[in-house]
Amino acid sequence: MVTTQAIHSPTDDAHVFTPTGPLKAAVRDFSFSYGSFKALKNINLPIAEKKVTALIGPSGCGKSTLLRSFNRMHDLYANNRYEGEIRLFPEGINLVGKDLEPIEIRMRCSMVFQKPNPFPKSIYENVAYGMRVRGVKNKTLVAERIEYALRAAALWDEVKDRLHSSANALSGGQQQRLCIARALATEPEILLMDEPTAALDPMSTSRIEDLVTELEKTVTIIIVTHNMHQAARISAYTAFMYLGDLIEFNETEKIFTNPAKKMTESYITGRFG
Amino acid sequence: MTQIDTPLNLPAATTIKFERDARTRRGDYVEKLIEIVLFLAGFSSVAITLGIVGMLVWESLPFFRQVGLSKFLLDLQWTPLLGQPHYGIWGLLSGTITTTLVALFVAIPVGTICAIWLSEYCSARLREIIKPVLELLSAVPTVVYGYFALLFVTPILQALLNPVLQTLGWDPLPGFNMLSAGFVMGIMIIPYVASLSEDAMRSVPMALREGSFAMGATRFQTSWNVVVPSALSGITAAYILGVARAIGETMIVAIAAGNMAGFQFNPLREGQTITAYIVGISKGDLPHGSLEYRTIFAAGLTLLVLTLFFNVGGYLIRKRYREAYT
Amino acid sequence: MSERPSPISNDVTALRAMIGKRKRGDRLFSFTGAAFIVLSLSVLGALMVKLVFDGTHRLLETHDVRADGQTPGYRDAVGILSAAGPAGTLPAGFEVQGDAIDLRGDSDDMDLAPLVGRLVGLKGDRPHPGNLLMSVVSAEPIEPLPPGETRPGDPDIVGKIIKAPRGHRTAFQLVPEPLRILSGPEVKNLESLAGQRVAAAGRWGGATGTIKASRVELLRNETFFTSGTSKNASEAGIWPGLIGTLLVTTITMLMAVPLGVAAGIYLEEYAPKNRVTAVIEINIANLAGVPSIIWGLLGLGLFIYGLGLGRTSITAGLTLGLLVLPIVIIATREAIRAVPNAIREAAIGLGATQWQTVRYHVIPYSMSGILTGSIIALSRAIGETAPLVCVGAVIFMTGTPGLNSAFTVMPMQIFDWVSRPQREFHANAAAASLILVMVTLALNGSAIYIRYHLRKKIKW
Repeated sequence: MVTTQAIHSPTDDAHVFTPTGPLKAAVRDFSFSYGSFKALKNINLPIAEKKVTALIGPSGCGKSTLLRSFNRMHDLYANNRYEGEIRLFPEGINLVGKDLEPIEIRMRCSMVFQKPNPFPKSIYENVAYGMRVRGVKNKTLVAERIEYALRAAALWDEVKDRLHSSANALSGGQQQRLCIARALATEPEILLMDEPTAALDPMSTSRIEDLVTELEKTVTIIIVTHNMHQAARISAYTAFMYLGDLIEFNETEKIFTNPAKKMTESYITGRFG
Repeated sequence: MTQIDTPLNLPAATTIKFERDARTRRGDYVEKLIEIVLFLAGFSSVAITLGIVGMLVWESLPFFRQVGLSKFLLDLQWTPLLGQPHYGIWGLLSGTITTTLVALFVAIPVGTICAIWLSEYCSARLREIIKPVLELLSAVPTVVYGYFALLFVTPILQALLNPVLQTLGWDPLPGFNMLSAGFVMGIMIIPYVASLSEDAMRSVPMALREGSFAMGATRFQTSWNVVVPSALSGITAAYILGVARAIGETMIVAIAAGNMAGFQFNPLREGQTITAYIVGISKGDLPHGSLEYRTIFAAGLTLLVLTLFFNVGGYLIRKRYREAYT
Repeated sequence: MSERPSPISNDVTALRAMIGKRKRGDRLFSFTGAAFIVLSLSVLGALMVKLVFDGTHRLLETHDVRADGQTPGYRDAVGILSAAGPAGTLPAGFEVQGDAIDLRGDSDDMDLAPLVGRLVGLKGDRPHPGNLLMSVVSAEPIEPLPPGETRPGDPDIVGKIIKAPRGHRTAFQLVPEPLRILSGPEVKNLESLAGQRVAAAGRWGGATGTIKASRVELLRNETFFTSGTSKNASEAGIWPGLIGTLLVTTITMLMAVPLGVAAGIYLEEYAPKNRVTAVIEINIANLAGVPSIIWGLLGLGLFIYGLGLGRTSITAGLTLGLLVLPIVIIATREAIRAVPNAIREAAIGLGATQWQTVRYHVIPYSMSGILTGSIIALSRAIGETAPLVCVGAVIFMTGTPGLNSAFTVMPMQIFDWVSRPQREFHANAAAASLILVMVTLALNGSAIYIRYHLRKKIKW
């Protein structure tokens, strides 16, 4: 049995690993509370541009909470409080700052959810949703971007002949790819993925993992996953979290072959979680 | 009112099979007897339906034989008590249709917007207070609503509209009119529309809303583009049940809309609905078995057919969409 | 991967402006929604205010009636009063008549007790000072006075006080001397004057004659609640309606609750999932939506003429019982459905039979839900009008309705009163509506409370 000693904040630790290359975002001294419960404690995490960063950890560690802070999803519910900052580069604006309009942030960061949630509309209208929300009227532009997004999501060939049929008629894996296309259509700066393959069968899972690897070239991706093997497969950098703390952050290879912290090692060898 | 219209978030009933193991014979008999008694109770509802339909048909058949179905359906005047009687149901149907349309004109927009607000904008605690109070609107006895329509709404409408009507050169609003009755009927129906629609909207999974918000939509955009379309069959069912309720309403129109049946679709005039006619005739004394007596059954049969059509439709739609979300 | 498509405009200011506009639209909608809710609820408020405004005075008024329920009327008194008697030292307005009498003035707090047995004469603008009221029960034509004959100054009433409770209505017995009674709009009642000669002039156009009365009676003071039908709006009340509503709704609940609960139990606990059950279920949904007047037609055709039950309270109760039956069934089903299977399984595990499980385990937990449904059914039954019109609710009722007699209910009274052109009757309708609405709101409110309480208490 693993003893859990008190984990001191990583800011004490002199070495918070910084990725080589430009950063897209940086989480600085970020805390989050649901009412009186402090779900995230002083997180410091750099997000590399155009790379996949994975957040792993056992249930309740706060990885989804951290992810949803990027696009201010917590604003939808009462009694939530952000402390600290999440800086978005290149301008360096604070995503969780009070003066920033959540709608604007959400137009720049798109999210894919655990369970595919296509809207009760046609495939075309689903992908076009983001653009409609942004007030894009130009029909050719919309059609162009829809095709681009569906191709990027590796769904175009399967649906190009039935763009105007209902999205609910698609299979689970197709629906999730549709949701990815929907998220990509507005060219987000960050793509947030919250356990996107958790509800899918292995075939669809591997297709989407291939997708993510392709997308890495054009979009910064932060992915929360319960499946650490998935993290090992597709991400460049991995952050391990536990009970609201960031325990360790490093290149994925290092995390999985030579973790610095004992706790990380226990988790990835399956001793707990 | 949500007692009448079943809510949707209860688990589907699963039957537990009871095994009959060896027991005393007397106990077995008692069990069986109880089951039979209960079955009869359950079956009574079927008997009642058959009774209603059977009786309406039985009493109105002589009427149809005498008057003829074509005259009933095609004649535009309903004057069965005059010297030269006319038996065209349109004389009453037009009143029913007009008052129902006025009621829907009030209830559907107000009810739907209230439902969206309650479901998407209102806090849970506030909603727990508002919903029951809103349902009280439909619990007020309709005869009291009739009083309200005749003695409060009509004078106000007259004060507001008569100047306008005068400048247009039209007749002033009469004391009995279908606009007033329809308006109050609409108010009475708002809770039906709002409550059922709101139930339907709240059944829409949160994940769908989050997907919309994550794309940068406002609450209104999310409600209108995602929640309402998802709940559409439930909302439609709510509308249909509201229609059925309006068609079957009696006292408000009997008191406030007048008792002059005619082929009249102008709500600014007096009119008589099917229901008001039945009540009006029953107030008096008609010899049992006479043609005039039978007219109320013929009218009743028409009414039953209409409401059954809408009620069954609404029930089927709700059943279908309820299955979609469980 | 295909080439990058043309980008969406990244004009931040335009984007921000659009977002701002959308947010304003959002706020506007939120305001509209809340406003509509407030408006809808304010209709309820307007209704209550209107009813209170129109009907409160009627609720508080009282009037006097004779034992037979008839309002004593001065029209009843016609006759000749012959005046006689010298005046004595009397306070102004009174005259001695016949043998010496005590005088009484017009004052409400007159103490008549010492005068019992004495002959008194009363005169004044108010012929029935204070609590002294008299009522004529029957009258006979009287001989006319010779034309031109008047008797000025005669006391208004001369009689013997028989009984004088302190400050209360008193019965007068007129002595066998001729009396004269002055007419006037104030004269409400004249006692029956057995064998007396009385005359009344003025309002009765000077008709004179002898009144023969049969008996003297005390008068009752009645309120809106205790009076029955009357031609006068201020004297019409809801007593028959009150009793009728109580009778009819009791029968309704006695019929609908056992039958409805039994049906609900059957459908939830016993019925197999086959087509028959499905048919029954659709049926009940149908019946819940049948317009109320159709139930009235059913009662008319089936109960009154088919079974020959007649237009009685029992028929009305049965008809309404059928009407609210679907409500009870559906509420019972929901309440039973909410009981988790774990409870049933626990009972079976202990060896209970199906009925034992239902009776001792399922029903107690669903009691609140069943109770709520019954309260709502009751509330509905109290307010129903249309079916009762069909089933023969009357408007004019003397006396109290009984089980096997003609009946009326409160909504019927309201319907009748509001349909009359005279404004005074509208006040009656408002007063009765106020009572009806209060009862309905109280019932529904208690149902809401029980439902809320139940939700908080029972945690599965």
